[in-house]
Amino acid sequence: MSFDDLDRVVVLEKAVFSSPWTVDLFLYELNHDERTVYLVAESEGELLGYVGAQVLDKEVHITNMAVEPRVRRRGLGSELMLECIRRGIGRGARWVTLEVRLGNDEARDFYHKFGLEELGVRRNYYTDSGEDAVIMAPGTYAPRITQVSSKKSRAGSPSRGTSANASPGHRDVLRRVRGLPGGRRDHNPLQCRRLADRPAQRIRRGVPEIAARAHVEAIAPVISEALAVSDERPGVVAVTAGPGLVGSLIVGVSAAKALAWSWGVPLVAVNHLEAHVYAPVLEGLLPEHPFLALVVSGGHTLLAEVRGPDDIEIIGQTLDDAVGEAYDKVAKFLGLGYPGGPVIDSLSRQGNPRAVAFPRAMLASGDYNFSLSGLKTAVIRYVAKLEAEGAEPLPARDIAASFQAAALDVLVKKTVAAALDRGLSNVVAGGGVACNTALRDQLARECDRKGITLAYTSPALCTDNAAMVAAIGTMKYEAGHTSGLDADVYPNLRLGEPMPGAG
Amino acid sequence: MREADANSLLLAWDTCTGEGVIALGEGASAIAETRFRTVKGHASWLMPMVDSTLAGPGASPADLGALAVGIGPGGYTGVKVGVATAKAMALVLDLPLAGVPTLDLLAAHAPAVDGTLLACMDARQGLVYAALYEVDGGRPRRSTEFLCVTPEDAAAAVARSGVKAFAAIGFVGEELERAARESGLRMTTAEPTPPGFPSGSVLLATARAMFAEGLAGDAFSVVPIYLKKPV
Repeated sequence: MSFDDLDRVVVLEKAVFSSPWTVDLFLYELNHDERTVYLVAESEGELLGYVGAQVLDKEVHITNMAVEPRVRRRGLGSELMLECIRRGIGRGARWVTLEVRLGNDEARDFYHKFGLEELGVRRNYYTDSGEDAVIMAPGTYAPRITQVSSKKSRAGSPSRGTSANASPGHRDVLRRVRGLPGGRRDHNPLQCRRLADRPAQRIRRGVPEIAARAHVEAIAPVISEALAVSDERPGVVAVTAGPGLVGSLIVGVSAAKALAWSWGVPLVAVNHLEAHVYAPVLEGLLPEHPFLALVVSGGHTLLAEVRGPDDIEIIGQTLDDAVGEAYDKVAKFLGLGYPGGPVIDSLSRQGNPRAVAFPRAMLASGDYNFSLSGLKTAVIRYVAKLEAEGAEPLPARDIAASFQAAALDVLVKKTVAAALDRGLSNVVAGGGVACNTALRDQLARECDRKGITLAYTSPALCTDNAAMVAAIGTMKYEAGHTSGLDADVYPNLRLGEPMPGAG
Repeated sequence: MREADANSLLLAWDTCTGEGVIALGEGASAIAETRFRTVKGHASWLMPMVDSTLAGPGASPADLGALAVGIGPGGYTGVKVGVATAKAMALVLDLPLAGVPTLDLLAAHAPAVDGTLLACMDARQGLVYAALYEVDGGRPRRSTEFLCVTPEDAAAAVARSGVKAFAAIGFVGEELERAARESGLRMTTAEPTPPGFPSGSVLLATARAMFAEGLAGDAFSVVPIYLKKPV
């Protein structure tokens, strides 16, 4: 499509949609977004239909589509759709997603032909009527492309290039600066919680440098809002010094030093993983020492015996991917978007966890270690095998549920085994993946059966947040640990490793 | 937030290049200055160095009246450390903050130049950060946007401005010299004055000028200049 077509596209758009895109919206997409694809179909000089989409990494997301009403049911829509998909595939995409009005049965039937199924609902998606949108995505992962006739469609895509990298997403990077507003009120860790809820910035699929730059921009508003909660000036400044992305860590630590120096108060550099372990103190749920901690997130999967804030021993960990990472990769493969955890968790509720017996890696290894990358490969191989055999594809919800069952099975079993073996009657689960409802349920059930007490915080305090940094910072300060203004960042800091340079 | 005046105690630093500088100014004088190398791993030294810079004259955070920071372009880490520290400090001490572009600071190191000045910094990968200035009575006035271009394109920018001769300061290499020649331009190289860019006193003077001209901001408004997107 060229810019010349735009006027006619807008005319058709207005005729077909109750909330039509304006010229400006189209122009913005075409001018600003390299991922945009627009195709028009015309016959003898008349514009009969168009389709617009965004190619986001492996996903073709259809944003608009319309066919002149009087030429419908002649296959034009299918041709546009197929051509769009073909171009997406040419750019590396592997599946198609879109939203459609809940009440638009005709459209939904149309999209069913492409192997798309209703995956979920976005409430109040359509601003004109408040109507819900149905998210449609492949029930199987591979849209089947047959033939595309190029006679009727003429295309000229204004886009070039491919989409941004997928790399540490917002969850990984958000939190480095949020470790910062861990300004602590004396003896009142609960107050810290309120400080922490201002998300620094949501960056989807950001490159680490972009995330770090966003943190610099967010510094002033984030600190300002955190301080607005109370008139009291903090008595201590706690900040995450590691592990994490070096660019993000350094922004948080730099700002924290400035605060500590300006106020003349101590600085406490904190280990992000220890913050996760001790987050339950914020809700009065921290058990007596010693206890077992399961820390599961996008970047970490480990079991540790916690005998005290300065005495933490890792007894098991993943040898390859973290659980959250496995969820993200599988979700991406299944075309479910990012982050993978919440969508797989929710989709799995409608799925059959016994549909596929994916391997429970290292279940009988005799140690407390994990391995997740084999599971992800097994999912991919399984789906590919079905396709190669021409067999009936399995719904994504069953694959998701079966994947989750395999992943959580080992986590839960080894956690309980470790607790029993070491005589620990309390288990704490923390980290972003501890928000997962299936994990919470299964772990609670198994712990209950074995007479083990399980503690986990509400979801907001499981995912990365600054309140937990304040909490562990308070404990460290009270134990006499402070850091100098020369505190450094430690991107690879391990749980239980002493903070270098801390007094 | 207080207004900065010519007598405010001004604390300034720049960590955008390999040479970090921190300076404390009272009126027109620099009463303390610290220089340190900002290579990898030394970014963590900024705050202790600031602390010791003030300790010399016995100044405390409460005495400060204004802040200034080099905002880039430059090394990614150095720019962020410098700016993040300055923004946080300006916020909690409620101070005005001048964001000094590093190229403007470089151009201010050529007071003897009369006419067109091209300030260049190494941007790696065959590129330079550059901007064009007109220097009048020792004061540079920028006449282009900040650029991240090849030396050839930098010379072309000079040629487009219509002059036949210009001075260049900073990262001046063979490519620039050749490009200037081929564009029929006469180029002289200006050495930073005082030697050792960046100079604490030039940083202070540049910041003071920004305050006087209403070009300073605060913790919220000052943002870094990168000019390059990460790959």
